[in-house]
Amino acid sequence: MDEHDLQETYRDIMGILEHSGLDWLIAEVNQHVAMEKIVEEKHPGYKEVLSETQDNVRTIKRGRLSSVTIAQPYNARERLELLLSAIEQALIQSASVSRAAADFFVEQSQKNPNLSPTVIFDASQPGDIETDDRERTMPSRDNVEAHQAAAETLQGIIDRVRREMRDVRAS
Amino acid sequence: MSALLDELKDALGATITAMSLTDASSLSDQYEAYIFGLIIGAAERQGASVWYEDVNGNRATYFCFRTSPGYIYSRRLPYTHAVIEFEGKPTLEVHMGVRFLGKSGVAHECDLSVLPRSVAQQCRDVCAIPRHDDLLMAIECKYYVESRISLFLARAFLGLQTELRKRETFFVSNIETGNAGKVLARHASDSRYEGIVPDDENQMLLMRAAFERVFDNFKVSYRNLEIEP
Repeated sequence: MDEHDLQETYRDIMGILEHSGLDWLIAEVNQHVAMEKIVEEKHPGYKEVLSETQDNVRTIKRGRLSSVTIAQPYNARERLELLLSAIEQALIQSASVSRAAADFFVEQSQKNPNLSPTVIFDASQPGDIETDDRERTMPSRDNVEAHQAAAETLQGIIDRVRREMRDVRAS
Repeated sequence: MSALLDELKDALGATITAMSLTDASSLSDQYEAYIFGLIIGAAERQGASVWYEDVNGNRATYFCFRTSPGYIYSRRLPYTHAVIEFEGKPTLEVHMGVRFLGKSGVAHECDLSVLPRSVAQQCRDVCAIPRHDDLLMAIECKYYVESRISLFLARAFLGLQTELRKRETFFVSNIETGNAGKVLARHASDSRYEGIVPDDENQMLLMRAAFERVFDNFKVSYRNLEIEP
């Protein structure tokens, strides 16, 4: 994949995310890309010296190499990698987190009589009057298993996209 | 590549449908729930009995957690907390999304917190905010989809840690934290736990061991409860 292919693939995947309603994920990736990367580079330092021959004449001369920290834009390959990584965190890694959490609540409900493994998250803010639409339920174990199966397929495809990126770079 | 992108589109659609994900907060909720489970697991491994109650003192029939900062006495919903009991020691409670008064007198949210039941009960009875020195442990949880955690989160955590209990306030995240991690490694190295996810068992065990250490210290340092004649 050359620079143009990488940019095109990035745009295509962003389009897919937008089509899938994952605007918040796009926003997070865009924010990260806009922040640029922080890198350290070695550059010649400068030092101020007084002339030995002329009184009070100061000059700036190049000195030893020293580390400087600079912000650099991500290149096309890095941007695509950031995007794939964000998809992995949000959609794939979250499957194992959901699974572990769901297993925990099922286990606790088995230990505690009359305790259902249902988990409700109250997303209302202080001062909200209506709260019904602000409650989120944690996925059930069945949902989590479906998520995990879909996530495994998705991981396989992302791995193939990465291979394509790598193969072309190697060739 | 075009065929691969078509497959990616289908797979993304299938995953999103399966997980019914609405926004990034859903991920954070589930991550906090996962870490909540690690705390309970650590307490159980240290020999605690655990059960669940709501804010009214009734045995919980389901789990109800806050996702935005709230007060421990709020009865708007039957918010759940865990009750942890070590034999002969003061009983503890584990809460999600409760505010504590920092050293400056400002109230801060703790994603997860552990405090003595006696303090929690008093706060519920008189609608008070628990204080930083009531905390046995506080945990800041961050589930991030970016590959690096923003620096401001590290700064915010250091501020929170200064306001609460330095040694027992943990920063827990699902990913390596880049520059933010460097800041935390420098100023809060014992409190920084990165890459805590179920797929990385080593990291998960490290985290659980840290929670166990807090409970173990609690058992050792607290006197046995007085027995009434």
